[in-house]
Amino acid sequence: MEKVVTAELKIPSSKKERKAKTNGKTKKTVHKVVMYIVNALLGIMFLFPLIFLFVSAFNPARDLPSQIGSFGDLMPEYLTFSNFASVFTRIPMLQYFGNTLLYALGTVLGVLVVNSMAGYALAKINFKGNKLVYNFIVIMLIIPFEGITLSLYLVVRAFGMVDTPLAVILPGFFSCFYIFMFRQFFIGVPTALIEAAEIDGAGSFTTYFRIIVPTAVPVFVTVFILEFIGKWGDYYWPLLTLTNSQWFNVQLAIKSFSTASPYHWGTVMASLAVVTVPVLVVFMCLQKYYIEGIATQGIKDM
Amino acid sequence: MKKILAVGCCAALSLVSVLGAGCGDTGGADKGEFLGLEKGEAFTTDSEVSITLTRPTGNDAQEKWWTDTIAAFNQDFSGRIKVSCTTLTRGNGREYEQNISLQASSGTISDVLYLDGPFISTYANAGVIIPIDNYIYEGYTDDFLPYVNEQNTYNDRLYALSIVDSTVCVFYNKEILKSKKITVPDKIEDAWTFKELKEIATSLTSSIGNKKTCYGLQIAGDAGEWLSYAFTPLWTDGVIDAEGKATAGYLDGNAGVEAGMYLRSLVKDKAVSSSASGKDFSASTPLAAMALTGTQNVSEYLALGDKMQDWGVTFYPADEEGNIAAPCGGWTLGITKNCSAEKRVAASEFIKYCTSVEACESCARDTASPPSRKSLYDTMPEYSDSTNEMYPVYSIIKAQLLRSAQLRPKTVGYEVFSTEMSKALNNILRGTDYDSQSKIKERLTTAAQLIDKSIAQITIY
Amino acid sequence: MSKTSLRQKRINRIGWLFMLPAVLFGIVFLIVPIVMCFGFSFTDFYMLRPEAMKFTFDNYANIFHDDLFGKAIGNTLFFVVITVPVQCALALGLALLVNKTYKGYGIFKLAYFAPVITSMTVVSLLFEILYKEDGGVFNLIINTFGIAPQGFLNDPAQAMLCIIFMSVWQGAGYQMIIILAGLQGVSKELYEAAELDGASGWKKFTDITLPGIAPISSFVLVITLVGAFKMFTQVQILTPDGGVDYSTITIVYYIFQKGMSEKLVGYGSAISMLFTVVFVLASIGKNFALKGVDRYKSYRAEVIGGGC
Repeated sequence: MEKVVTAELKIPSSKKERKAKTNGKTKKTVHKVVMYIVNALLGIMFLFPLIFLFVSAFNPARDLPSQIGSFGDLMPEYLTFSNFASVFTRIPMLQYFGNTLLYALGTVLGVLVVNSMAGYALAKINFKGNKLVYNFIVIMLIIPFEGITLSLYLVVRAFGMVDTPLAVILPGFFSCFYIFMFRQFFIGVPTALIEAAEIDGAGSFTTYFRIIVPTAVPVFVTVFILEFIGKWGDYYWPLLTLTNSQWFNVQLAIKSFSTASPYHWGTVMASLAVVTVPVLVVFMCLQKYYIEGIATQGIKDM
Repeated sequence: MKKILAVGCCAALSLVSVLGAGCGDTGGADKGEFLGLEKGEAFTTDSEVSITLTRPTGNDAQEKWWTDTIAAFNQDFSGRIKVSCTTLTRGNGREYEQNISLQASSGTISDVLYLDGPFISTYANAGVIIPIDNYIYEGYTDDFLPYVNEQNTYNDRLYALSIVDSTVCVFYNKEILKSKKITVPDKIEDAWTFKELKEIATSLTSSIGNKKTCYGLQIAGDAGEWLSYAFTPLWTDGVIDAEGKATAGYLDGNAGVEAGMYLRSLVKDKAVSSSASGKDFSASTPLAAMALTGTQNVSEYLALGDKMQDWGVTFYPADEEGNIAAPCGGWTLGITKNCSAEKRVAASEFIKYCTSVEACESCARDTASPPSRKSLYDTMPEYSDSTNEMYPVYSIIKAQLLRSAQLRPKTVGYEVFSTEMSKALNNILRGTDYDSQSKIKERLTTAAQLIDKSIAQITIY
Repeated sequence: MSKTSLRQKRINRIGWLFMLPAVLFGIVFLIVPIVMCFGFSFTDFYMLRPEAMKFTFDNYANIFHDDLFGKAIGNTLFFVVITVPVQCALALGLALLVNKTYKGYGIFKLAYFAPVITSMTVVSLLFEILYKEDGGVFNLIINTFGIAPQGFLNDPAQAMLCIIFMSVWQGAGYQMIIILAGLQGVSKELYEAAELDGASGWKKFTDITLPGIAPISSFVLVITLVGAFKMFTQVQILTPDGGVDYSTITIVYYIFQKGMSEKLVGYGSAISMLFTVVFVLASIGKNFALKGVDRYKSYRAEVIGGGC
């Protein structure tokens, strides 16, 4: 398997090629510097909300500055940890973290299994009805959740899942979005790879789990990140289906900071910062899988 | 195609009829026989009755009051009645009402429901809550403020009982007003008129350096209901017809357009900011000298740590004739259709317990809200003893509520009414091209049409 | 078509076995609710009074006299037409910017993705400060250049543009991360070979990168399009009242308002259904059009047609 994922670099041998390489090197350095500068400038623009969030979380001020006379108005006079202290003392935050982790990981696991298999079937197995199912799934993307909220609630209610973790986990398993995404990724997997495995006598499921899944790590990671973030930030559906506070997720839990008076802006921001950290950690741990060009050439040679 | 349609409808209808089974009893004008307990009669039962309550999550003081009260009730009725409580997130908008509606549609609503007063018409009309007057003995409601009873009545039947109430006042920063030598009326006869309020607010607006302005008045609130709640009294001809079904000709009538012009002039004359936040008044460096806001903020201002000497309260503004029609109304406890007949006596006992003199008093004090019972305004020192620290604030609220409270309109479409009216008023206040009378009238007409259409859709059957 | 071979039968079986979990969950949590929604759209279902539900065609008839619905469609289309190309291009640009293994690029990926991670509450608070007409940051900035203060969200002509700006900025990281995953599939060796041939950067981009990420690009395009059609959250947080003169209400905002807030489930369902049907028709139309072009262009006759 290792062979499949490592790129075989061609070593330039002739003088001409070597010269081209040196030229390329200076060009590359310039390119590199330019890229760093562009990225840094753009990055600050995009990083702004996160900076704003974390700075505000340490702000002792009670209220959001409602008129900005200068940028200094957004800066705290001094930094304080007391906002964080009130986040953890006023509500059982750790319990809500546990709940949310359960919902997020539970859903992600189901999403990865259910949708990747369907996406693979649609991309690589030419079964009868394939085209029909595919078209249907693309069309179903447009169904707005807000349109079927009540119906979905009645279904979940009929299964007796309201006020249980299942209410927020199971309905998320099937997703037209992720099926479509997996299909588009699997389409790029060379059919020769599958055929080779099947000639070796591997069954379809063995081929899928042992050969195909390992080559598609980036897409699995992407779906993991997207769904984890989605579930972590979910508010409206849990609001309707989890009415018992012991099952609250973090978003429902921290809502009490921003709706019940006395309202403290610093605490609201601290609560938001606290619930953002796990998502940041997940992203930072997983983003190393986004490496330029994992060589698929090796696969194609097989 | 026909077949699919039939299947779809059947699926939908059957599921709902199964889930929504066991309803009925929408209540008529006939009160029927008395089923509750007489005054002083003790509740007896063979086996413990369990009652469920649903209420929105409140602030720390409210949470504590509810927890303590329910615990005390369960203690007092140990072995007879046990109340368990579900708290639903109030949210920024109407999440609580949406959640309750969803439960109503699936027939899973709790036995006792804590709901906002103006929604009684909506829920009673739909049969979600049932009349409770045949469970509450004669004379029990006598001590409640008359308009509170009126709020809790629909089609001449009593549907709910209130613990505390609310109103809207002008809060002011004592220091700023003192520095501008503005005296504040302390007798209700001397209350400012809307026009005076605007003139005073305009005169108070001043630059406070660093490109910032301290406005004379702050009127912002939440996006959902606030503006309609706070300014309905400006519509001196009313906002809706007597049946609560049509706003056309009222909302956009002459008085309405005048009210809209007044609101717009607040912005135009720089009495209020076009993009104020609800926090402008309470900030440590105030961005507003006064705030027209609800009494629910009293607890907020107290919790600020600001000393009582920093802020004061005066009356809701009067019209040109000097009459005040102050907004009022609060949350109420009702019994839902899901509460089975044999549990209704127990449920009514719980409601009576929560609305007893003692409970109302503790709730009023702990949550800094005006009580719904008349007698408490004479017995609670905050409202009757001029040496009490809170008296300067609470005596104003008392005078206003006892003399000039005006209920929000009673309509089955309160949700759409309050939301659409607030949207229109918000547009008039903030929109960049609302300087002409015709534009204001046009906007109010649009709102009126939308409201009337939606109410017609609700009351189609 | 010829008689199904044994091999095809096996393939059918395996295909549906792979589909099985998705089919089960899809039926229960998507198809059934949609069928119910379809059913409700022919009723006067009022959420507080399910037992009084009656059959009616009024909902569909009423939609066509609903000015606000027309406004919602117009606003949504305006949003889609601007957002989709801008956001896709920005996402692709960002993905290409960070698709390198240089040291420290992790922080840039994180930066571009940050608005996606950050809670909508924070983003809305932030943009409230930025967009305020009176004492807002953007007006502070343009004031230093001597430009008169703008209304931004208070101005019906600018409100939707403000939402588009925030939306693109907030959402581009999402598409970027997907494109980035797609870029993993593009062989490094192809680039190296092209470099040896002296290909310019632009040529490498058009000849290698773009074809390499074609399947994922079409995916990103479709989901951005669909996402833009369904846009709702941004409107709700920046202009909870739907904007001055309803200048920012979108179709899904309207569905939510009618179906959930005003509790008129029947009417809300009818709008949802109409919205879906129009989209389905549009995509079928698009498929037919594309097919026509294909037929015209190539001699290969399409034997196996799309089922829908």
